[in-house]
Amino acid sequence: MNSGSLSSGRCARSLFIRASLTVCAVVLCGIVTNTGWAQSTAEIFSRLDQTAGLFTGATASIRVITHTGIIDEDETQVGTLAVKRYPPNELRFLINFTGQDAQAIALGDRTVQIYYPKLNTVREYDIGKYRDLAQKLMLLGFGMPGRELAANYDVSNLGGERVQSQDSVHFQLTPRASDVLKQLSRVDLWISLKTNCPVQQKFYMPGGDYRLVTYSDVKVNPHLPASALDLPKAAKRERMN
Amino acid sequence: MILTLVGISYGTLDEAARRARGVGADIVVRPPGTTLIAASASPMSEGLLPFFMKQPHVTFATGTMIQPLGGFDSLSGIDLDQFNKLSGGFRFVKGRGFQNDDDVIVDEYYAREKNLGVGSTIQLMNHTWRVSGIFESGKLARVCAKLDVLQALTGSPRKLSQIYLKVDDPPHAQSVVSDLRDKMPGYFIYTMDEFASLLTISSVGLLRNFIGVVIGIAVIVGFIVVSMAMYTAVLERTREIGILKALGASTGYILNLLFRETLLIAIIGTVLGIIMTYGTQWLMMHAVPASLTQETVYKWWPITGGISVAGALLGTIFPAWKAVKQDVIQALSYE
Repeated sequence: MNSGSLSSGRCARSLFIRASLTVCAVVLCGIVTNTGWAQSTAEIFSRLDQTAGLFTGATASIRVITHTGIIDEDETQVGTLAVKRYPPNELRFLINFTGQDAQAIALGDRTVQIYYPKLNTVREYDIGKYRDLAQKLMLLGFGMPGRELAANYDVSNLGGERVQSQDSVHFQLTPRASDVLKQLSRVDLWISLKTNCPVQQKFYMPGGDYRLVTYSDVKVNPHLPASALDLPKAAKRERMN
Repeated sequence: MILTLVGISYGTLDEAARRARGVGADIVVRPPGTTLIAASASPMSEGLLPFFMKQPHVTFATGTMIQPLGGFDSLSGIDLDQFNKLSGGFRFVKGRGFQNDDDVIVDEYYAREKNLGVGSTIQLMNHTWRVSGIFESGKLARVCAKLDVLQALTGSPRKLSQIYLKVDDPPHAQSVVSDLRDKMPGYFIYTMDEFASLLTISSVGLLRNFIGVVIGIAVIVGFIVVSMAMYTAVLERTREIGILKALGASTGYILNLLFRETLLIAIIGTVLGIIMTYGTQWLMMHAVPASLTQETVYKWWPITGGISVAGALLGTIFPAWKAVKQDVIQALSYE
């Protein structure tokens, strides 16, 4: 065993211990303050822990509203999302936006690819160490164990809500990592009680802007061939960095 | 080598700063650092322009879209009429502004490097563009296209990468920036002087590290080369040193001789290096004027001179020590 695997083993153990302690703290705080919601959080996180291991992928329709706070302006994009898990725990996705602002965004192994249909071009950006962060932010709640949410965010349970005709639980997440906090002051996450996947995410930027992502027709663990995440093969490819 | 690489680093950044100042704006607004979530290089809404126009002291606002082309090149989308109001207009050397949607205007250096004339076509972003004009360098970018065309092609209607503001009186720029920073936390808002000052070696961490690595390599290579050269020189002069020692030359005299020779070689090498940087400067100006700009960075002359002399003297220590320790009889019989 090399020092890297020893170190990553120690890291994983430390992460697990911290996550466990955090879950315990959340549960204990809840028992003291608000028994009903604390149990719900613990139950949901426990269920997310169980279902995360079984998650192989998902498809959904997606609507993204980008809100510019200072001018109170909303811009809407609609499209589809396909997520697929690759062993051991890597999620890749393809978002296809349609309409006037048609483009496709694919998160692959270390890269983000953006396809511009009007230019028939795929631009590829190596995001290296930020890949993990991109996966965790853009796919927040998909195949994610509750302990991971608790380890990375301060979690508040805001109760049950009905979103997209689905019963869901509304969580308010505040990032713990200072580098994430610089970009995101808060994330609201609505987890469906039926699919255990997000029905809505709301990313709050420090300046009052936000990005509201709503998922509908969510299908969990569908049969997704490897080609489901492919961008058009005939498109010209450009490496940007 | 050090002077050329430092010159390119300074030249490229100073050229970018010069073009930024050439825009004629007093303030620049850049989007918050949330491109990872937005997955877009142009995440600001055009709807911000009327908002900026309503701010005290702001007399004009316009935006651009920047699309990287790989390497140092980028394609800027501009609203030509709006941009002319801000910058005082492009000075066209040949041709004129956009006539059709697929037109681009290029600066004289880009035209020279890519061998373009008015009416030439160029493939950028997998799209064929026609050059409608060639302008004097020093404003914003080397290649510009119509903003709405670039927005449509990239599926980013009404989206901007940067917004430029003009204020009624330049001294008001700082107060407008402070006011806007309070209203729009997260956005990067600078006066043009602040923005230009960010385009320096010490502000660009990657370049600072790059120059450090280059100097490190140059010092190591210089040290090895000088050391080997001096070692060979001492070997070749074994008999000469033996004769000097036989004639009663002291250790100090021989060391002094070798060190003086080293110093002279280092100084001549530095001067030749400085002269050669003018050669590389000329070569870049004629071969790749749009891609690489090399400057003469005078403050680096004594630094590189110091590196050269120190490396050479350090490299002389071992062979010099070996030379003075040599036995006179052995040295005289050396063939």
